[in-house]
Amino acid sequence: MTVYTQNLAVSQYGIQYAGSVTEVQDLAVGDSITASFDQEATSNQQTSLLDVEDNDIVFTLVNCTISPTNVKNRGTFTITPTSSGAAYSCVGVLIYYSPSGQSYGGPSTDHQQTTFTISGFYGVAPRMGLQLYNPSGDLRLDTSDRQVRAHSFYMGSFYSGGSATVTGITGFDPNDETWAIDVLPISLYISFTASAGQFTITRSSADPFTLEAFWKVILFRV
Amino acid sequence: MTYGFQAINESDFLQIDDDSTSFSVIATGTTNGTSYVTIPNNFPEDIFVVVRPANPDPQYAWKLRGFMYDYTPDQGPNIGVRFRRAYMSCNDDRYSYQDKGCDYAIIERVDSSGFTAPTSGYGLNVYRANGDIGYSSEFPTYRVKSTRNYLISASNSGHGIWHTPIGNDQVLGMYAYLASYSEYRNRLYSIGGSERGFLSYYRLAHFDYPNNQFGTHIQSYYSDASRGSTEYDRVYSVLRTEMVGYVT
Repeated sequence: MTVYTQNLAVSQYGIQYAGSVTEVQDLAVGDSITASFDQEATSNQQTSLLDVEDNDIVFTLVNCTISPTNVKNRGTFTITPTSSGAAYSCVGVLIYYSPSGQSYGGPSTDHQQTTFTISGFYGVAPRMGLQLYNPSGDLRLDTSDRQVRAHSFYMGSFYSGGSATVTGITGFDPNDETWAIDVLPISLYISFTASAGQFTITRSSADPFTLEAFWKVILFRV
Repeated sequence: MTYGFQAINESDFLQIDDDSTSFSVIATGTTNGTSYVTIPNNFPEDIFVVVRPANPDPQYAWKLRGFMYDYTPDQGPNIGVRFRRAYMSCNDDRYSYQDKGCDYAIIERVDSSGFTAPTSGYGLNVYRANGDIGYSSEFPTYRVKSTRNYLISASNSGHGIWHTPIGNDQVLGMYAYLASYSEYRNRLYSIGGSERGFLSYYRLAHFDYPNNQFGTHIQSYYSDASRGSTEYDRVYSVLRTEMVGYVT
């Protein structure tokens, strides 16, 4: 769990321009950043420009939080990513008073801004399990995969109005999503219900197709 | 299990052990302007099929419709002939229907008669206590990333996004398990007096590439019906499994 330091600064000579500075910091799970954003104003610039409105930096945060949330120029704060396996970004914009004629590219004729950006990728948690690759380097099994495994299949036939019930399926629980179910035929006149250890497939008597029809139920584990 | 090999994934789902039998790809292909693939009758009964849009434009979400079909007429000119098919077609979100091509893979048990025993001498083979192979990394398989069981009813269609990949996974490239992505409900109802309307509802697999999400989409079609017709509401009321994952 590393705490990185990122102190981003824009030179005093850029104060009348729309300055920007960007840093990239990739993080492992549990890491965070102690940061500060500094428009390096001279003492005179600080008094005559930044202190006039003394604005907070306005943040746009993606997949991260900051603490404290109210930060001024040169203030120190902590960036904490929130989404493992995703990119994060912390963009801070400092808007300050800059008299007319010195606001090249600023948000208004008497304001200028500096943009600070820290971004990167927040790593996934340490992975446990088995990975298998083929000789070409393609994954055959990954630690997040679920593997379909055979359990059983059942077949029969019925006429309209008929049904079939199978009982005694050891361990079968339709509310447990490690069980997967395939049902044939697919028809508006077919219904299928299941409960622990059993299922029933029914063909409605309203089925206008009167010939014998085949049914099949396949159970998988996944 | 007190001895042998077992692999459990990072979310505690069992992947491999020496009591169970996994699946591998027996056949792959791409449809192009045809609506179904014929499943050879000598393939095992418990094969399954997974499908995805072929060469999709990922700036659009894509829909997949399709279903398994297995029928042997007991009268007529084809009496006794088994028709075993996987129907499939795709369209992007700009259209309600197109017969665009699909990539498909047919998946079979690794211990079935059609399976070619591993010969390469590399990778991992896990054998069951009776000596049958239970898992082999020799051939591609269906690597499931998410699954759900859904009881379809008139009021519960299962519409909506239900899988968002994590990490570097992308819906672009994934295959949907060919469940009942077809008409699941139709109803004929009064639209006033003896006037009748007819609505047909379809469940479709929804590959939302722009937002990297996967789900189920409900699409309905309306038409006028004959005046005075008997009203009804028919639903394919079935507990079904939906899955999405890679074939590698």
